[in-house]
Amino acid sequence: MFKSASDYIRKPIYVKDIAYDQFQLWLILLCRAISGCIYCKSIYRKGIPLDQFVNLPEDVQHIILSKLPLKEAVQTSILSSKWRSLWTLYPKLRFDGTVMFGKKMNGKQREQYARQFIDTVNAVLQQCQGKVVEELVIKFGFDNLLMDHLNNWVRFAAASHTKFLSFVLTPRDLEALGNPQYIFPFQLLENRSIFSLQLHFVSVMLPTQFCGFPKLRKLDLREVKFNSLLGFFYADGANIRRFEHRHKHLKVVCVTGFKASNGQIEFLVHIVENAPALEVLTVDQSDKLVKNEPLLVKKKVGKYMDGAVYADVRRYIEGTVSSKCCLRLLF
Amino acid sequence: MASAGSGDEKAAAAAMITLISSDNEKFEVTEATATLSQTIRHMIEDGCTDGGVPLPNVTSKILARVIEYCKKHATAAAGEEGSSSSFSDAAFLEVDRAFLEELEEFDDAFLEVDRATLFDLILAANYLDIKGLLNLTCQKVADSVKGKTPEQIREMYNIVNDLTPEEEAEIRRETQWAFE
Repeated sequence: MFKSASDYIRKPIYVKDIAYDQFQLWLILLCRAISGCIYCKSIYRKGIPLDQFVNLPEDVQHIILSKLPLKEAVQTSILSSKWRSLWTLYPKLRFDGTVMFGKKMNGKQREQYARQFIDTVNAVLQQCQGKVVEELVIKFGFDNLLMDHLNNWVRFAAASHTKFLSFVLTPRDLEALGNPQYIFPFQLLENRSIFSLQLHFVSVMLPTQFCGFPKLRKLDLREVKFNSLLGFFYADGANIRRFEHRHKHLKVVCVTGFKASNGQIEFLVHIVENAPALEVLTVDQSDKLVKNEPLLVKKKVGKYMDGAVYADVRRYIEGTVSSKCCLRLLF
Repeated sequence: MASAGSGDEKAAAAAMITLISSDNEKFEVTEATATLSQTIRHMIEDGCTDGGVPLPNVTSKILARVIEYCKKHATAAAGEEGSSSSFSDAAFLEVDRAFLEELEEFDDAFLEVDRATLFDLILAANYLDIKGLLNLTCQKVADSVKGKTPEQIREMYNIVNDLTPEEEAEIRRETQWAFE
């Protein structure tokens, strides 16, 4: 077949007296086309060309991989050399302890799981270094072992232009609930691209030079301990002034475990005064983190109750937010 | 036309656009259907759709399917108009539930295609910038891979394993957690 085809080509070219090396080029191109055709045929099956996935545009690969659980996306690295690093384009990194190890994580095993969790996160983040990671979710029972690593993961989020950041930590027991040990390092997250920030069971202490998140739209804070009088005021010469309009786009704010502590009230005042676009504000006094033990929760909440303060806060919020904002004040 | 108010929308419903596939077949569609494609929407906004919109990357077979999808979803999109942010769940809930169910059934049936067609649809959705269709088709590919062993995936997508045993061991070592 090849011979007759090249004979067929040769005739008209000789007739037209075209230079010999040009003819040679033709021949090479023809050979490539034919061999390519034969080669493809042997690996075509049911009419599908070899590994169509790898030939898709990068954006589309992103979308498909992001629809897989992280573990399965990583497993695709074993398929072939072209697939090896495809998964590192994975834009959503979700690390959920209960998904990885199941729900029972107590006693001695807990420490072992924590180590394993840390190793996993570090291994993945290292491979995704320098890439854009749209979403980073860390969901794990708090353990002291995590302390050294959490800050590094925040640094990673800052460097990777992360838009959706979640640190969903859970306390070991009810006693620990009121006192989250991890102080979320806002100073490391000077990140202009943050859209959504979800923090559960952390302490918050904003640095005085903090410039806010200009694109922040959603803020979900549960069991967050606000350290009073440090974050939302700043010293300006002799005066102490409040931050002004730092959250132009902020639309959704959720705070649970509201005990009307000074820090929490200060935070809420700051939000209602500085988030003009606010659409939904939820303030809940119950501890959403320990849903399965409602009795204990009630008792604990009871200790903080001070009806007058709650009423003041409610009146202030209702009087300050715009009428367009949907309020869910569950206290 | 850039700021589609309610008056403009009515006018748009009547206006027809001609789409021309790579094999030169012509398709007449309403502007409401065509503008599900951001690519075409921009062309309309720039006023360069007179004499038809040539789509050299899309065959008539695929374009017909894409139009079928857009027609069905054009009505749904009208409800979402103006709610570009992902936080407007409330507006979304207002859309008739029965209609959503019907739409879901349509989508399921729509995806009953062979794999080559599915990939062609993905490429067309990407080129025409039709978010819903791109998500739908990509989800189908992701679902087809879910829960499969590497051997099954290779078999399914004709992937030739060109990794040496050493390289394979290295990958497994690097990402050990994913293979446990």
